[in-house]
Amino acid sequence: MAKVRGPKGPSILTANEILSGEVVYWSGDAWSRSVDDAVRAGDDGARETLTATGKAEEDANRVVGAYLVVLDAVTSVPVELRERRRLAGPSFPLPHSAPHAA
Amino acid sequence: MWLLDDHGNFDRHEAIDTGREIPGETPPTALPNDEVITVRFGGYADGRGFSTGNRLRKMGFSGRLIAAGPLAPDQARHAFQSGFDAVLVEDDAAERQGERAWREAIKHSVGELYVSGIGSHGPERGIWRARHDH
Amino acid sequence: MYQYDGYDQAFVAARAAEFREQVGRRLTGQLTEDEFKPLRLKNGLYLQLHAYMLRIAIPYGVLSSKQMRTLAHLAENYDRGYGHFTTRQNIQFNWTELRHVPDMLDLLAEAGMHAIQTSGNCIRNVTTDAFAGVAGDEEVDPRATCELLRQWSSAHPEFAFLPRKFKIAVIGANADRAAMKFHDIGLRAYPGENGLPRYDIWVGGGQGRTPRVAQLFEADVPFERLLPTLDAMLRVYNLHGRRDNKYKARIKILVAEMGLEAYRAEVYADMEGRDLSPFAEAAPEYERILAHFATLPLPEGEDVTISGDGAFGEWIDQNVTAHKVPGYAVVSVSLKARGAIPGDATGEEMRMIADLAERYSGGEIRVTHRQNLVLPSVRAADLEAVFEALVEAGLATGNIGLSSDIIACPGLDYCALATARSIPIAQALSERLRSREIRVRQEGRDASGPTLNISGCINACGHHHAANIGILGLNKAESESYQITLGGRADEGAAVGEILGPGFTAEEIPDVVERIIETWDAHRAEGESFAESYARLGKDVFKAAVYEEPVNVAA
Repeated sequence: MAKVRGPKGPSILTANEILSGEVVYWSGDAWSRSVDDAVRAGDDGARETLTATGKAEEDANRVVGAYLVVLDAVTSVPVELRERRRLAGPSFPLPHSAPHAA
Repeated sequence: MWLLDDHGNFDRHEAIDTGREIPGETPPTALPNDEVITVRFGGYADGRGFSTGNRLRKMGFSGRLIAAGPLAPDQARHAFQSGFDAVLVEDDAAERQGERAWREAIKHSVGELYVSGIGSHGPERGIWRARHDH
Repeated sequence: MYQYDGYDQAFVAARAAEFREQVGRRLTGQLTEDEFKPLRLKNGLYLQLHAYMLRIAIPYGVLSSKQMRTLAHLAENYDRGYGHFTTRQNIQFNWTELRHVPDMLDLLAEAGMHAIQTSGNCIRNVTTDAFAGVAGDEEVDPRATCELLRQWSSAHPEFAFLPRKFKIAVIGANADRAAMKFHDIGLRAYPGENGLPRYDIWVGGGQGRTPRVAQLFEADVPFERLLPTLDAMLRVYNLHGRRDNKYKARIKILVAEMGLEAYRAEVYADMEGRDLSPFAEAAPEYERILAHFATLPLPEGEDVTISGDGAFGEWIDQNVTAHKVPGYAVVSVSLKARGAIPGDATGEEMRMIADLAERYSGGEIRVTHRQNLVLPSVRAADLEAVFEALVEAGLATGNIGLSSDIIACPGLDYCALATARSIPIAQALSERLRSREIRVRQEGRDASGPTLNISGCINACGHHHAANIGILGLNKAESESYQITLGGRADEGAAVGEILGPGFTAEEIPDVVERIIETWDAHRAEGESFAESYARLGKDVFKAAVYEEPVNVAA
């Protein structure tokens, strides 16, 4: 179930892709791995539409855990610490960058 | 309504005798004399009904014991191994979760446990028994 | 060590096949995410902050070289080349894909391993002393009880949808190296009649939001009554534990709200008149399991004293412990090198440890609750060779039991529940404390210090409550803030730490911790541990040292 977390403000829709688990963002007609592609909802109506999209995409079993991330209106950085960390990824280099399995 | 029995039969019935219904969270304190008892689980993740089934069998309840509520096929073996004879499934749940998934629930579950419980209608014999009871 | 027979093998293979089928139904929508979640959790699969994480059980912390190589293979082929050893004798892979998990479970099953009940509201992987079977002070080898409990609890029909998770630990010595009293149920095994142990059963320990040291449920329980008692203890918890609030759902809250006496009475009432025939084979099964652990494949060696200088000397002092067989030693391999991520190991490191274990330690490895590895049976004569091989691999840090041997949870770098990061704090502290330890040792002084644990949220996976110095990461107005607790202990003198005062920024933490250690050093009586000093001094002296002058953080 898509849910609005925390404060209100310009919002983007995020989730994890069901099979790979990768973090994805709603680009308006598809899911993208890049936050730069995310469509931004600026008012309550647009936020409701994004929330409904998240629910529909969950029901279609394409993604899990869909929810809106609220951005700072000026800096476009997520307002919540958790979302800033999720966007940034681990704060240290990883031993290897990509899985080998096909 | 559909009924899955401990032999893996999964059939639709117009009417099912569900006897006396009790909530999964409240095991009776005295042995009921009903022929059929239906234990209604409060939620999919609420496992109290399994212990209530176990308690009823421990008390000596020998009638028919039916599990009802928002269960998934994957929980059928939990019910049978806790002493239930059958699982009641609503029509919409059977449709969404799949008739086949219910029919094959026992086949796809881990059936053979290490310890076979008292009153279990599960498919298991018990690995400990198999290892030591020659 | 325990070897799977055909039954065990078939059991884990069946569980892996069941999960593959469940994934199939999830993808078609026959299982909703709400239905699938408890099922995937019961197979160790979480959805974390960035990806799916698979948690694999290392029952009672014992691994063969072959199994370690399987973990290395999984790290290299299904993850990003590394894994994370946790505080509960599990390993986590942080970057798995749902589509690969059934294959991973098949590979694990082939190696006699699984991810069963490493998560979810069920009986979790049973943990124990990482020195089980080799410790000189051991009275009963706890591993046989752990394996018996693994078998009893695996796929238990009644206890798979409990109010909350359920953790059991078993020890068999006076020294508690498994934080037994911080578990939902803790068992202390003693020698009993006919080779079967007797047990003290402790209940209601735990950490999280409401940390509690376990209380004695019943002392000196004969083996025959162990499983019937645990069964009834779980049943009363399943029926009466709170389900309205996840922070009040653990057995510690039930016992606190009911009172120990009333809980006990309910348990005994449930046991009364029960047919115990399901447990009739428990004793022969225990004996069968015990036989797997009974013989150490070791010819008695000559009892030699090994000592050395420099890094080798430090490693001998800190990482090498007496073995119950003369001529052998227990070697701990620290996963806490300066600046390292506690508990992380690359596939390459796993293979290297597997090779070393094969060559020098009977092909056996242990995983500790302090997130290190152990080569349990190394000939004293081989210690230098083992040390040199570890130096080459960068795994020879001689800091076991020192303050830089930090426990840390994955925190907000990985975890969806975390409120702050843990790992960067651990890394910064490791840099600072390791420098101090080396300096102090060079000065010819005692480098020992407080235990230091870090959690990234109140759930306390990093065991901060149970550390001499605990650090808890919190979210204060969308910024990370770190609260300090002092005086906690995970050992036989189990105690919950006390909050020192207002929190600090990440940057301030190394200075704050160093001040606490320096204050202890200044007030310490000869040979006194931090916990002992704290019990004598109380918190005020530390509070004054930390809060009287502001901490100056170098930019």
